[in-house]
This record gives sequence, structure tokens and C-alpha cells, in this order.
Amino acid sequence: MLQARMDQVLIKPDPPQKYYGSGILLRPETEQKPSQRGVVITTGQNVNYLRVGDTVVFAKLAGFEVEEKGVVYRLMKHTNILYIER
Amino acid sequence: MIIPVRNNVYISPIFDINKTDSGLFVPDQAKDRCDQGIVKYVGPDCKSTNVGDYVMFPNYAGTLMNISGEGYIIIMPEDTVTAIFEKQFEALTIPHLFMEDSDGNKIPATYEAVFTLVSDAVQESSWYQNVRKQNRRRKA
Repeated sequence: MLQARMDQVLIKPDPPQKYYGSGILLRPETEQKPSQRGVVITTGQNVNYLRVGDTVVFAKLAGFEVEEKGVVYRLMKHTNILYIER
Repeated sequence: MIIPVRNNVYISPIFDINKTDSGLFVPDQAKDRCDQGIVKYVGPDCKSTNVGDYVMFPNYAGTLMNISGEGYIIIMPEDTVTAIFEKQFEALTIPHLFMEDSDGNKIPATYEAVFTLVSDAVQESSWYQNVRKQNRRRKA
């Protein structure tokens, strides 16, 4: 299992939503809008305001994707997190 | 319900109806960016901004989000806010009018609070949306 270090946070994002922004046709790869919401899996030791299992909303395209055992996670710095949703 | 974190400020933006722009086609999201607003929530680490401040910030700073139950909110770190406007008038209470908070306590209503409520309601109303649409058509 991955363990985030220092300022990093490991997040499992929600499945992407279908994009209904405008009437312009898009290619199937770009059609899906990446979701900005996810569940915290692990946090580094410097991040003390987040708990495992919190639902958070983060900045668009923050961090990078990590794949482990077929599940896609996102690893990012905690400064990219906008707010906690409850 | 949102819980603020770190030194973020959460600003409800004030969109200007009479904004002048060139005749170029701009996507709706980009057109709606503004540079003024009223602070709705502050994070626990904020020092110089308070809830209810009328602030100014760079045009494309922060993240604009449409949150269900909150409306449009711009989120940015506290250092990005460039200026806080001085309050134009003192908090005058309206006699015989009270507001209730979530715990059921009654607070005497001020003109400022009532005006913010009214402006929120106006921005969400269908009349205001029609006015904005008409303005866009006129410019196009």
C-alpha cells in the first residue's frame, strides 16, 4: 500500500462526470471531465488537519495520477486542497 | 456544507452587469470572472481578513466554483487578496426586524446584512438572468 510523505496527500478521486458544458462535440477521450472531489486515503506527517476518510475538493489537474492494483489514485501537495465537504 | 481549511478565503463574487468588453467571443465561464466580492468564510489560519469584508483581488486569481447550496464561490489564499474596502456606513440596526441564526437566537437585523441577502436573492432570480442575457445580446 502506498504511504504519502511530508506535505503530500493521497486521494482516491470520484469517477469522472460526463461533460455537458456546451454543445460542441468532443472526442471521446476528452469528453469526460475529471472530477475534483475525492476521499483521503493517506496523508503525510506534516498534514494534520485532514483525516482518513474525509471528502475533499481539490484544484483542477492538481498533482499526478498513480495506479496501484488497477485503482487510480491522485498524489498531490496539501496546498491544492480547497475545502473539506461534509 | 463546506469546511474551510488553512489560510483560504471563500469569497462570494459581485458580477458587474454593465461591464464593457470588446465584441470578441469569450466563453461564458471566462466572461464571468470579476475582481470584487464579499468574504463568506475564512480558514482557521487567516489573520487579516474577516467574514463580511468587501475585498478586491486580481481578475483571474483563485478558483471559481459553483457549489450546490452555496452558489458561486471564489477560493484563494489570503495573501492573494489585494485590498479591503473601507466600510461605507456604520452598522445601523433596523427597528422591529430580527434575524434568526442556526441555533435559534434572535439578532437585530442590520441594513448591511439585509442588503447582502437581497443582492444574493436578486442575483439568483430569473429576472436578473434575463437582464444579463439581454445585455449580452445587445453587445453581440
